[in-house]
Amino acid sequence: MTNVFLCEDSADGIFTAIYNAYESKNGHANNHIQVHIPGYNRQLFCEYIEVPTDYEKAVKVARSLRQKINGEVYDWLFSAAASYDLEKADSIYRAVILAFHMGAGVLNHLTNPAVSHICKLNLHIDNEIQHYKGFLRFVELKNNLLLAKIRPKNNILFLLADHFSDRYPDENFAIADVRRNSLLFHAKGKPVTFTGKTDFDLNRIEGEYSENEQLLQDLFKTYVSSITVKERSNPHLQRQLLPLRFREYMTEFE
Amino acid sequence: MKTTAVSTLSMDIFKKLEILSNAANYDVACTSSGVQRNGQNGSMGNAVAGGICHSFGADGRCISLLKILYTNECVYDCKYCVNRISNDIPRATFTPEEIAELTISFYRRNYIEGLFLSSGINKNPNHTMEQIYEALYIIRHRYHFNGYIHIKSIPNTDPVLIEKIGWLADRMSANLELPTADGLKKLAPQKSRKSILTPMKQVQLTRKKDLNFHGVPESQHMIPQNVPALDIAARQPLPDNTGENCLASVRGSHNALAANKQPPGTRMETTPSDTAALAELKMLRSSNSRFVPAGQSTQMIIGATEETDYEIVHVAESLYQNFDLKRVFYSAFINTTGDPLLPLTPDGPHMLREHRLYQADFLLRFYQFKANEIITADHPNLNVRLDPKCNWAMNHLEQFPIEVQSANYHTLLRIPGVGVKSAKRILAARRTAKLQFSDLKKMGIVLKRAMYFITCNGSTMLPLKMSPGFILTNLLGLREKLPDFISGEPVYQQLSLLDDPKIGGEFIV
Ligand code: SF4
Repeated sequence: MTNVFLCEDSADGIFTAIYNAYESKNGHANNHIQVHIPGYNRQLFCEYIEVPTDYEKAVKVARSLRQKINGEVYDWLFSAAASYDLEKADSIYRAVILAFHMGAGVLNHLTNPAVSHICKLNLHIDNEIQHYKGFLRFVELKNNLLLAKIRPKNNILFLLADHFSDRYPDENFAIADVRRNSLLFHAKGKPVTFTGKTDFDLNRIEGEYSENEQLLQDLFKTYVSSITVKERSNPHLQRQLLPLRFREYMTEFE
Repeated sequence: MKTTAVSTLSMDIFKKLEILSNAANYDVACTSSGVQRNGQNGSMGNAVAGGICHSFGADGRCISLLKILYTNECVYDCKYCVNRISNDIPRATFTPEEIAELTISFYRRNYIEGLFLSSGINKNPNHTMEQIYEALYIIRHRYHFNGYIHIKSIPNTDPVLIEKIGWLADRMSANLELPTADGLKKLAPQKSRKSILTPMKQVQLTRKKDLNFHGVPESQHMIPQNVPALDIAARQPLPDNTGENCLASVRGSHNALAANKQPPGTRMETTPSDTAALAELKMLRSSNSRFVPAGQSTQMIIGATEETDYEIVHVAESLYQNFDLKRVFYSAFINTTGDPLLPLTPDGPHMLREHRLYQADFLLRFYQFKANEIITADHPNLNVRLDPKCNWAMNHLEQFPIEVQSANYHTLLRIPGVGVKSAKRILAARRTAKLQFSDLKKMGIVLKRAMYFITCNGSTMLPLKMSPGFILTNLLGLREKLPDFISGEPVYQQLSLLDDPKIGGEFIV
């Protein structure tokens, strides 16, 4: 009988499930880890076990990955947990087993399906991060707060934190993931904080524009249109390099 | 970092921005790469070695920097330039404050990576570059901006001013304009070859000195530098942030220069202007900023004068060798002024020629080719039908086929269809395993081109008896992926040059 561990869609959730799967002594071949989403089709002949996220267990898994293998392998697995692909959970589980078995070499073991799956997910995540580093737009609100809204496919909010807090150390800024309703907040000179789902109301944060905001937005639109070479118009190419899904909150496309 | 509550921007800023960004379209480079700098408390901005694209225009070109002219006024009369004094066009000039405020406000909203500032000549070269320095000074000192700045310098500018700018900019460039001194004499008589190359040399040497001072080995001078944040504490404290005061010393030196009289507060014997400027230079030198950390680039116009590709490729090679340039940009000539000395361009600019030159340039920079291997005096123009690498291979069939299992890196790079990345992958992969043709494909080698030139463990890919004529016919039969502005069809990469479309992460526009 296969045990299916149903976990929360987060690195902590997945790592907790991995801990429980190891503890179950059921044999890795008989375990499966799945992200718990409502309405997921359940199969016959499987026992479904709900895994409440347990930070201590998650930290234990993380720690032994870092200590027994290395930080690089841990980061590689950790960032894959941000993927939108729900099959990530079991691949991470498989890759963890392999990593404890073969060490850091796991990263090059591309013929293994779990390893290549995770590489693929990470590539997608890295691409999306790279895109948002450029395409994310802040608007300045009356209270001087810079607010950006994004709708990423992957859960990359926390992976953007380093870049933007390095870039704007003296600003108060917030980035909202409107797909997941989560928020990253950076106050001048302080470490960033994350807020999940229910704890905040974007409408309340989103106040009026600052005095200059509209002017600057219009100026940027003027700029973008005047440096475009009209005779070389190529919206097809533009769409490939800057897919429509990124444009929702981009000033120049409003 | 304080942001000015009162904006210096008035409504005519729209007109200015429109004119002065449109005029900057003739500047080719829009890359923000070449320097890595982390942010720092008390300032704004960082720089990422690979560059970041912030948007793409409707023409599919990357928008990374605020690319503008300080002014499109110009006292010179270069025959090929829309801004020439004899041309009747709408003119505009930014104030240094406006440039600073636009840069900072755009950067804060994550619209851009930084600034690319170029200019026509307002009054004279020194006056113009002083305005540019002032803008730069405000951006770096009043706004404590740590992001990327590229400044284009003007020939005949005072060396002290050039150096002052170099301590605050990441990249500097001096346009070569035309490939040879003769071309310059004919079309830009107010500029001389010497006036262009002298500041280029100055920047090169000062940069070298700075890198040596910081213990960077020669071998690493040309790779992206990891530089510290501009340390505000190491600089003279500014009186306040009203801009007027913090620039008083600069203005003082300008006025002194103009009026040739002693600025208030100095009791020096030497020429007061020199004293003020030199004192400032000393302060900049003792700060912890690096001199032009992202290096120099240049740009030349192709096809306005008679030069052959042979001359152009050799000029580029000597610029790389003798001036440590990071990039040479080529821009196909478009006749915008209708000057009788200029060729007409009824079919538009010669984009294919420009593209071939970029390919030749890649061979110089990344593929270990020498100019005289790419092009010779008896065939002084690049083959338009074949890319320069294939062309070289066809002329050197005696050196092929190359055995991929054993060839060294230099030799692998000679194979058409093998790029810098795929050559490195071959080296890595064959350490552990014997290569198969199917592996080569996975490593990104373009087999439909490479197959005529390689063996893998002694065998060719197809059992073909190959004559030069057969190979040539086949190579010409392949549809080369050209940038869409040449082929008129959409392409799937921004600019596919040779086999690695995006080497070093630089975006080419
Ligand atoms: S100096 Fe520059 S802006 Fe002025 S005419 Fe010559 S090329 Fe144009």
